[in-house]
Formats: sequence, structure tokens, C-alpha cells
Amino acid sequence: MNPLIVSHVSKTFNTKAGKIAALCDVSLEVKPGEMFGLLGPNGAGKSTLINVMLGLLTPDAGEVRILDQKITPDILRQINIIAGGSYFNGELTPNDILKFYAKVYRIPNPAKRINDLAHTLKLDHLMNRKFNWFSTGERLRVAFAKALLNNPKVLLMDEPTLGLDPDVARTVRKEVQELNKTGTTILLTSHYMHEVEQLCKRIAFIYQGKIVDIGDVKKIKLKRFATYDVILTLNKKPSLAFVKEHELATKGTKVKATLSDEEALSNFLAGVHEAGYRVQDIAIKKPTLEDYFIKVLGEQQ
Amino acid sequence: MRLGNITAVMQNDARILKNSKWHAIEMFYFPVFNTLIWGFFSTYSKQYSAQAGLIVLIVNMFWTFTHLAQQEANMLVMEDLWSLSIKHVFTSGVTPFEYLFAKLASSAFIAIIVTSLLIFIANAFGAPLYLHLAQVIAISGVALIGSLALATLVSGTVLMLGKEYAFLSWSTLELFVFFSAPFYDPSILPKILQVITTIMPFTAVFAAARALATNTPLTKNILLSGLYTALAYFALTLIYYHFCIKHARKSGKLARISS
Repeated sequence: MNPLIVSHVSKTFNTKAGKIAALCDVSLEVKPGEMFGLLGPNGAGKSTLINVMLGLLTPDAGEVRILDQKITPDILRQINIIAGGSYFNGELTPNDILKFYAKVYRIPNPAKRINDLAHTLKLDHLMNRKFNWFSTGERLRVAFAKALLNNPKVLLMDEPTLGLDPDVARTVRKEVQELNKTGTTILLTSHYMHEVEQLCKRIAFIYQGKIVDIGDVKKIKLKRFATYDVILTLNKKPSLAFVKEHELATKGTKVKATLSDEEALSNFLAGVHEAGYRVQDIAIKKPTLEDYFIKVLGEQQ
Repeated sequence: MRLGNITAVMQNDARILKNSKWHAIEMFYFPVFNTLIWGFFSTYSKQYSAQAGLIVLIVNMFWTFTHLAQQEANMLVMEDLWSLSIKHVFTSGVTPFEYLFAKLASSAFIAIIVTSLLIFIANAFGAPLYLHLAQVIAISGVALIGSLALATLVSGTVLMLGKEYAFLSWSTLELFVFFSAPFYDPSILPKILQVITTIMPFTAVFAAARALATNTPLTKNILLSGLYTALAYFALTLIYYHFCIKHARKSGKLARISS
């Protein structure tokens, strides 16, 4: 049984401007130990879906099952959340914050667990300083410590690296990967496409409350981008016949070929060699998740 | 309902209060200085009417007690809303009722501690309340239930409608006290107000407080009717709180309130 199952969830909000469909028949499943990415522009419904998963929002239709159960206090004690810009009471120290959650999560030997986490997340020297005085990166480390406190079976991460320095964001990604290796199932929402591409094998693209695409990142990209570009710098200007034969675009000694797969790339490089050219430089431009995001967004709009 | 969660939230509040010194000072500052002011007034006014001053002093003390019990609970909720930490609390397995009961218990504790100090101060102004301890405890008990009912009402409303309704935390009690006829007998009020006083949670509390000040024997009936009214308020506001949380989950307010 998959640890996170969203089945036909719909949610409409009544606003002064009328009804807004935030989620329309959304279904997805996250497999055990998987790191799953949820993509979409602002207001697409990502946070709404996470709030439904956390039991903070009641859907109009459908249901969420975590660890094969409906959301209950007992289930909430087995999962955790990290949200970008996580806040705690500024008058509290990380020590106070973690003591409270250790009690709520019923952590055996809480003092040791808190010490271990403080050490792992390099919070030792900050444990008795008020949260008010922390930088964004330090706050996130406290949020991480709180999120790891109960060794969650499922971790929901809503824009965890929002507003972080690239250096801190990289550390966070490393921590997330380490956590995932221990078997924690993770659902990640992020606006940083490279982050999702680096961390997640499967993603869902959500737009105006609907799942537009769902599946393996590579396959999803292939659906939208059947080809990719290879740019070679040759030792001399290519002949017209060579350009026509391989349907190249040229600029001086630079040629651009549009290829469909790795076999086509091998054949093309063999042809270059046979025609007596030497390759001085090569650049392969494969579509990124960001290209995919922009393309899908364009299609939807 | 898990006692461990309730004590965890209460301990967390105690840590917040311990670390925010100004809030802790404020808890004592206003009640103590109010009581001192009314104490001096009661001493001064004795020249004119022996009991008027004591009525003001003792009624004011119970008013302060209800104020503390209600407002502290609501301010502890607001602390969590303003610091945006409530989302973490509600997604960690603490149920909204455990959360509420923790806040109510914390504020009751604060109100009892501060009021004990006020009883000591009142004694210096000729109101030896410790001599009537059983009555003081009975009146305080009724006042406490009524105050916690109001705190429940306000907590539910703020969670349902949003942080912009925080003003209810410090303004609701005034209205209920006004309609509970604090310093005077309801019989002097216009008919319509007299009717309203019969369904107010603090009418019996203030009547009993005035009886204490004037050394009039306190009838069981006054306190019992006060107790039933306060219990009815508490039961109704608990149902209302349940409705508010349900509505807040449906409307999305509970999710949005901490972001």
C-alpha cells in the first residue's frame, strides 16, 4: 500500500469574487520511500493540497489516506511538515520548541534525541538563543530539527528552500536526500525546477487545481520535447552537402543538429567523423524541467 | 483527549511567558495597580458611605479575576496566531479541544495566582476576604467557569474568522460585565436590561461580591443560579467552538490563519 494516496479530491472556495475551484478531482499516489515533486505556478493548488493532506482543510469531495488511514491525530504524529518561512514563537529557544514537540510526538528519551538533532543540524550553539534572533537559514534548521524529531514516515515539504542562500539551499537538499535514503517518503513542492529535477524521480504538474501531467520526470519531458539540440564547433566550415544531409543549422564553423535520441547522436557523430571534420567543441542542450514547466504553462494558458 | 498534549501546550505557554518578561509583568501590573487605586478610593469614600467603597473594591477584584481568566486564554491563542506557529501545533497531533483546554487551564492558573495576591492587597484596605474564604472560592469558581466560556467563545470566533478579530480578546468581557450589573443591583436598571441581566454569566458573581462587601448573608440560590448559568454558557460555547473549527476547516481559514 502506498503511504500517501490522494483520491479524487476537490475543493472550491467561496470568495467575494465568486467561487474559486482550488482543486478539481486531484488524484495521485506516492510510493514507499519515494521523493515525489509537486509542481505548478503560484495559486495552482499545491499548498491547498498539502493543507488537505494535513487535515487543516476539509475537501468537498474525495479523500486523502496517509499510511493507509484517514488523517487522525495518531497519523499526524507519524508524519511531519516543513514549510518555507517556518515560524515558531519568537520568544522560545530551539530547546523550548523541540521539548514541546518531543512531548507531543511522544519521543522516548527526548533529551538525547534533541541533542543528537542539534548536533546533526549544527544547532548546538543556538539551542538557548531566542528564535526571534535567527536568520532565515537558522530558522529553517530549527524547522528541520522539528520535522525530523519523530522520524516521520511521510514528510511534506512545502517550498522548503524558499528565500534561502544557494549555499544553505544546497545543504538542505543534501539533508533531504539523506533523509530519503533512510526510507522516508517525501512530497516536495518547489518553485526551483533544478531542485525538483535533482531530487525527484516522479512529479505531478498541477495547474488551476487540476493535475495536468504525472509520472517519471524523463518521460514527462519526452512527452513535450521529443528532440534535443547538439551544437558542434568544427575545425572548418561545413560543406553545403553535409549541411543538407544532416539538416543542420550553421553559423561559421558552428553547426546545430536536432536529434531525437542517443542512437541518432551516435550516427550523427559518426557522420561528422566520416566527412573528415574534427570536433573542437560540443554542447548538448537537453530540455530542463524549467523548459518543461514553461512549455506546459504556455499550453495551459 | 490526551492529558499529555494538554500539559505539553501548557508547558510551552509557560516557557513563552517566562521568556516574554513584559507580558508577565503586565499580568500583575494592571490588576495590582487597579486594586490599589480602588482600595484608596474605598478608604476615602468611607467618610461618605461606609460600604460603597468596599463594593467597588471587591466587585472590581472579581471583575479583574474574570478579565484575567478570559483574556489570558485568548492572548495565549493570539500569541500562536501572531507568531504563525499554530499550524505546527495543529499538524502535530494536538487536537483543537486539547489546545483549547490547555489555554483555559493556563489562564485559570494565572488568574488564581494573581487574584490570591489581590486578596492580600484588599485586606490592607479593610476587606478581610480571607475570613470568608469558602465564599470567595465559590464566587471565584462561578466567575472562572463564566470567563472560560467567554474565552472559548472568542477563541472559536477568532479561529473561524481570522486574526483581524483579535480585538474580541480584550473587548468582549466589557460588554458581558456591563450587562451583568457589576456595581449595583439589577433592580435599578430599566426593565429590558433587568431581563438581560438574568441570562448574563456574571450577574450572580457580582451580586455575591456585593453581598460580601455589605456583609449580607450569601444565599445558596444566588451562587447556584450563577453556577448553572455559567455551566450553560460553557457547554454552549464548547459546541460553538466545535462548530467554529469545523467551519474554519471547510472555509480554509484554519489553513490560512498561520500563513
